[in-house]
Amino acid sequence: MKKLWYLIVFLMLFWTHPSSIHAESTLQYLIDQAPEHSIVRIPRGVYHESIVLSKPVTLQGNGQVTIQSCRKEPVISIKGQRVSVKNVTVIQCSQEKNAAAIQVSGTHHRIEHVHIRTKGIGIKLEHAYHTVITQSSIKGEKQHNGIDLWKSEQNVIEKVRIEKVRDGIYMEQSDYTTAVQNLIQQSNYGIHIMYSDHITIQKNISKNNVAGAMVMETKGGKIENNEFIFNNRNVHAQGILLFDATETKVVRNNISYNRVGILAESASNNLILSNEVRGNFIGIQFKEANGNIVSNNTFISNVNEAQALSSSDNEVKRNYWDASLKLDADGSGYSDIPYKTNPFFLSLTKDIPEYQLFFHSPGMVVLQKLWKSPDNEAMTDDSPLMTAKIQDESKSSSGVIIVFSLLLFLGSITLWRIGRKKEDA
Amino acid sequence: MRKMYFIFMLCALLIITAACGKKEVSPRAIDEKNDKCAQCNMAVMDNQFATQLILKNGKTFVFDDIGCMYKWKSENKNENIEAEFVRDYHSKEWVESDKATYVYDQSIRTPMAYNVISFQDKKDAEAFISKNSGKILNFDQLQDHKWKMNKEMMEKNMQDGHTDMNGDHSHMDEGNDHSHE
Repeated sequence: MKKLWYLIVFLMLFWTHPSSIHAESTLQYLIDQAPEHSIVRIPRGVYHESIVLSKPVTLQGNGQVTIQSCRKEPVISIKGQRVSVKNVTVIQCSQEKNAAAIQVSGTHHRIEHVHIRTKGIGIKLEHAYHTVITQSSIKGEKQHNGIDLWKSEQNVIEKVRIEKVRDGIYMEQSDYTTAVQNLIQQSNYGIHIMYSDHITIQKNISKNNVAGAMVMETKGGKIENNEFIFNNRNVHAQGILLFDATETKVVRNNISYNRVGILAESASNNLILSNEVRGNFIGIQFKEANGNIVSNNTFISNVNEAQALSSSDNEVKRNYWDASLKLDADGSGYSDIPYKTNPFFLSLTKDIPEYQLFFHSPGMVVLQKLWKSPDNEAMTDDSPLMTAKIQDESKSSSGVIIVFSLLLFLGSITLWRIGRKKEDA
Repeated sequence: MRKMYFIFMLCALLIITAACGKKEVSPRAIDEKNDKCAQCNMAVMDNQFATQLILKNGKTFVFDDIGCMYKWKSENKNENIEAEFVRDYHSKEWVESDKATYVYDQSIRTPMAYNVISFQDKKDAEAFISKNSGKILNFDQLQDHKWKMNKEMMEKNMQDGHTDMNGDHSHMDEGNDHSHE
């Protein structure tokens, strides 16, 4: 009888475990009861509910807190002003179209240390302004976007790790969006800009996607110090696409090992400066792109350095092309022989892509030499750089050379002294 | 006997020429992994916005938005087009473009924001409009449609001092498909 009594007490204790009770009923209750500008601390546990935050409060997880829902509604809806969500894991398991883990509208919200696993959209911002998403992660199932901005302005996305989603960060009609130090991988497009002006994309890494960045229908943006690398898993893969982009600065990016490094189509008045374009199938490709400046870039080990078609009035100068013939008679640091690309291969393969099989075949090389393209269709660098400008690598390599020379010098002195000692003996 | 042979040959010839005349062009399936829009370079999803254009030489172009197809046509007027297809908004089946009914509304989200969708049946188009909003266009009217993307239109509205599109104007649920979904 005593044993039975213990069992009943044990079962009662089990059933009244705090996380189960709170998970079912009290999270939204806690939020509703909390005064404005207070901190709602959530005890560790798994909470199966979707919640709405519509007043200025901070929702903070203490320990491992998971909020999970398989309903079409967002797991967390953020509305109004100055809502913060910190230290929680959010799981959206709904298969419904457009289901989001977190949906944001309103102004001055903050999402920090939030880790999302979703079958739908990660974070959806609609009419959201001055919101910061930082130090978080999103893992999807490749069907929907990681962070999706629609008619939202002045938002900042920083230090977010996004993987296995459709587009890592997608913005449409969302001016003045800033994306800094994010890592986006194994997705369709890393960063996708549509009809959004004055965006800032800095120090992000976008790798192993179909495209590093699709910069479309935009004006006045800054794309600086990013790494768009290994985006080569698709026949149409590219590091960065500028489509109908104007007055956009693409500066000091590492655009390497993609199928096409930089593709600029119907793009005008953009600045493409000081980028390292390495190991791509095609380094830079222009199609109907006019009035752009391409300068001080380094093109190394690209199978095909540059192609231009129906593109004129572009200022291409002072780039380093490793395949160009170089002669610097006056010691200016710039070659006296202009480097001219030939778009013959691109025009040939445009209509019949299968001809790509003949790339660099002897017959094709002869044809390319015979077929001189008109000047206005070629990309010509009038004064190519004599040496590549890769600061970090040159520094490290010169350092290695100095250390190696010192070691050699010390070694030879030691050997010489040992030899002398033996002679003296 | 010779007459019979002649008649037989004539019939055979007629059948062959008739068969040639009835050469049907059928649309191909969308390959999401490898298809990209011939106009805007974006991946073409196997969804209700995909369109397809087949040239007389057998070459096929796919587009992610009806607007992209019309923009391509305006830039490639010398190409001989054999057939063009759009999708039914609900069933996602291919429909010959001249047999479809179209709906335009600025709040309909399409991949490149040209805001035009297509239906096999006019009734479905009318039902869509009664539930949401929009304007019905038949194939002939679509040829005169001004293909403008919504950002341009938005800027124009702003300049004209019309409504602020960044305000509370919510986009339609049914047209709430993102460019690439």
